[in-house]
Amino acid sequence: MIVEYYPTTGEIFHVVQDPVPNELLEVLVENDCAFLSISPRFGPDVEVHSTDAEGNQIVDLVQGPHIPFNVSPITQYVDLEIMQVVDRPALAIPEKVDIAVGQGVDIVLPLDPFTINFDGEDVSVTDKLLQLDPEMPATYTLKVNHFPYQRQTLTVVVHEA
Amino acid sequence: MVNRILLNTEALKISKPGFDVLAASELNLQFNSKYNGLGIRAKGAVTTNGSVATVYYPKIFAAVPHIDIYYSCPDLYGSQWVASASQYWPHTLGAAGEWFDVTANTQYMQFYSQLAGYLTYWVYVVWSL
Repeated sequence: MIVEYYPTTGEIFHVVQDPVPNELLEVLVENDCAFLSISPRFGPDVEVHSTDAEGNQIVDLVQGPHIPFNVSPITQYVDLEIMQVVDRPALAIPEKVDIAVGQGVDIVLPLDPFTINFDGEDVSVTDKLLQLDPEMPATYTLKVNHFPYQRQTLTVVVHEA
Repeated sequence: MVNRILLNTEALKISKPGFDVLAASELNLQFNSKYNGLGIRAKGAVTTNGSVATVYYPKIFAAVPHIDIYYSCPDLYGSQWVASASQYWPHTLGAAGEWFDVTANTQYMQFYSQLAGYLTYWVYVVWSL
């Protein structure tokens, strides 16, 4: 498996599943691409019993089963310090909040500043505190996309007071 | 009955019924191993997110290959197919000021989207290598 990433952040943008052509490795090296080459992993060797033409028992050791390994850019990235694929941290914020008009709610964010997208526009949140204090009943959608944290959508449903 | 199967140092050929494989034109062959089928030369998955993602092929092709893309942008388009041939590059989908671009040449493809998107690509060539 080939995992290509942006060298400044470790964000994964390209995954090639096995079997990987040898020529591709050469091309990536020639073009100074940042990538990890992850070898297929197999379980322990397995004994296979059979009988030869003279009736003798034969035991062969064959390669164990392939251990599936998938890489998801959505939930994983390359940690540039250890050069391994690791999980992107999940945000400890709710997916949905139900509040009434006039009833504010505070959501704590992990970084200062932190960028969220509201109605198509990026908004920078400071002091690690996202304060919601809606004035009209509606359903609002906040998209949180702040690498390396996993993308998350926060739905705020505002009811009549 | 005419000869219909030929295996020599050049290729394995099978002619259409009623045509002698030793004299048949290309049009009268059912199979000719000299030419590849629609072989997949590369496939993989790409994430786009406001920056250009460059994806190299395993080799430099003689011409821009045929590329199929399944692109999904959860914020904008939903999911849809973009099946493209070389003569259509660059290909752009646009809506509400957002877009998804694909360009390709004989060495690599480049993808760009304004918002986060996910795509799977298949690269085909139909000519003999």
